[in-house]
Amino acid sequence: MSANVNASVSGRGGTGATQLDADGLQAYLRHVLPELEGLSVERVWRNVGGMSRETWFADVSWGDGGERVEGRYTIRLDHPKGSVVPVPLWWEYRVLEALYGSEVPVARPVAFEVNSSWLGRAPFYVRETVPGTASPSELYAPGREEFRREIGAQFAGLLARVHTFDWQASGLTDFMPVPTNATECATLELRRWRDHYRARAVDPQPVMAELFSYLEQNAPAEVSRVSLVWGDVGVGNFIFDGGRIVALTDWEQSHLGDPMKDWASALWRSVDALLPAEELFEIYTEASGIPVNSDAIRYYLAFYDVECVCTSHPVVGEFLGGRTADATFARLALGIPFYCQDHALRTLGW
Amino acid sequence: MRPYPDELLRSLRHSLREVVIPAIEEPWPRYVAKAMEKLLEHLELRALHEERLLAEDITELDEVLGSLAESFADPSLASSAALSAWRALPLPGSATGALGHRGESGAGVAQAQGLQALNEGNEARRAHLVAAIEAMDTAERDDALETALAECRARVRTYLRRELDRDVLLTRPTFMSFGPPVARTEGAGA
Repeated sequence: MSANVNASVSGRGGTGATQLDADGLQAYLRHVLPELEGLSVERVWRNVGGMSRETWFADVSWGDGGERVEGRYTIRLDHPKGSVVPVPLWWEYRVLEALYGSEVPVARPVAFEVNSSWLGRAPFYVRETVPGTASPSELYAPGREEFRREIGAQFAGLLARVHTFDWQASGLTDFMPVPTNATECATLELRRWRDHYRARAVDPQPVMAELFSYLEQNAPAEVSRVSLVWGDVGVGNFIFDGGRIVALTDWEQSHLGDPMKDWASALWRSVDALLPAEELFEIYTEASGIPVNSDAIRYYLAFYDVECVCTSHPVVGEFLGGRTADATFARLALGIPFYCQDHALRTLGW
Repeated sequence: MRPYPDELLRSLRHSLREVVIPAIEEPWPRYVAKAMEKLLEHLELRALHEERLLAEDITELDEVLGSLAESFADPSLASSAALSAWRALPLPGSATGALGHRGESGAGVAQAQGLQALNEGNEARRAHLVAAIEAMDTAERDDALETALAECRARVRTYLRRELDRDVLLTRPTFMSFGPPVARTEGAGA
């Protein structure tokens, strides 16, 4: 069967093709996974949600001693007009490379590719798909209170592992800026986001101007340690299977900085619906030795709101001149920026 | 012409929600269709409220910009080159002329101007306010005027809260949330 017979083709529109060439993918996977004899791509489909980049899944099978074995791979690539986050695709791939095999569970990175001849698009990368689900609806299903508590406790312990990960020995400093003082833990990232936003903003947003001003002037003056910061943390960005968290995902916003930023992101994404914040913090501090600073978390809640606006508001620019007509982008460009600006102002009591 | 635009949009949304979306089995097309439904609800609100809210926003922007211009002229702030430079910027005009609709009701302004002119006038004023915020940043950093500008900051933030309340009224149906289902009370959920 031709590989592309079963490929789901989605999102044709003003952006140009947002599809994946399943025949090309099969050829590529055979190229990078030669040990999988007779590898065949059986189905390709696009992930729903996760708008920073396109995520596709490929169900494959291969021969092993006369049996057909099945597996799944994940393919990540930029939108046809580029990514909405101010880091290149290789950033998250290199983070996966640094973390894979450590105490921080992540998917195994398979290959990063810059040659567009395989899929007609590049760069892209392939990683193994970790069996399980990231679905919030599975977590929040009625009657799963104990399950949520268990997942919440595991989450706190894993976040402790992220924040105590030895980033100096891992190669991350080859591409991640290293803060030289406490304030820079916030301002290095803040200025990167601000530059990204200003370069792409379509219409003047006084709320953003004032939030940037506040965040610049109120960066926490103390941090307990400089850590690897996951960046986009919480429900929906980890995979669980059978009552166990098996992988942490979405590393494109990772950087070196204040670990409290991850707690802000996690709380923003309602991790305290799994386990009360006090219990999460207790497990975390016990495992990491890092105290929780509620003032810093409050600051980073507003910071995370700004970060989300920076990734979503510039999408408005794609509608200029008809470069895109994608309804999901239109919803993103409206639904995230105003929600986050409103949340930031409420967080700061404005 | 009848049906009115908001009535047509409601009809489209109803058909999408009740007929089309339940029949879509593929996850991605279904996700796209749900995004379309949210956008139609947003458009319905814009058809009903956008002109009035824009006019209100222009009125309040004129008030806050005018008050900042007066404050920046105060001798206590006169040492700041950044604030002086902002005061020298041309005030954004509107379709009907110079800055200032004080005393006019929002509805009155809306009737006098088309939607495009209102949007252009609003964006020009927002850009002027952004420039004021950045001038205050510079004045605080270079001239240590943080205390002297505190009242101006407070005024700006009060306006921003009101501006955002208006924006949220129109955009809430498109909101995306990552919280538990009980928290998804207002158009949330991707």
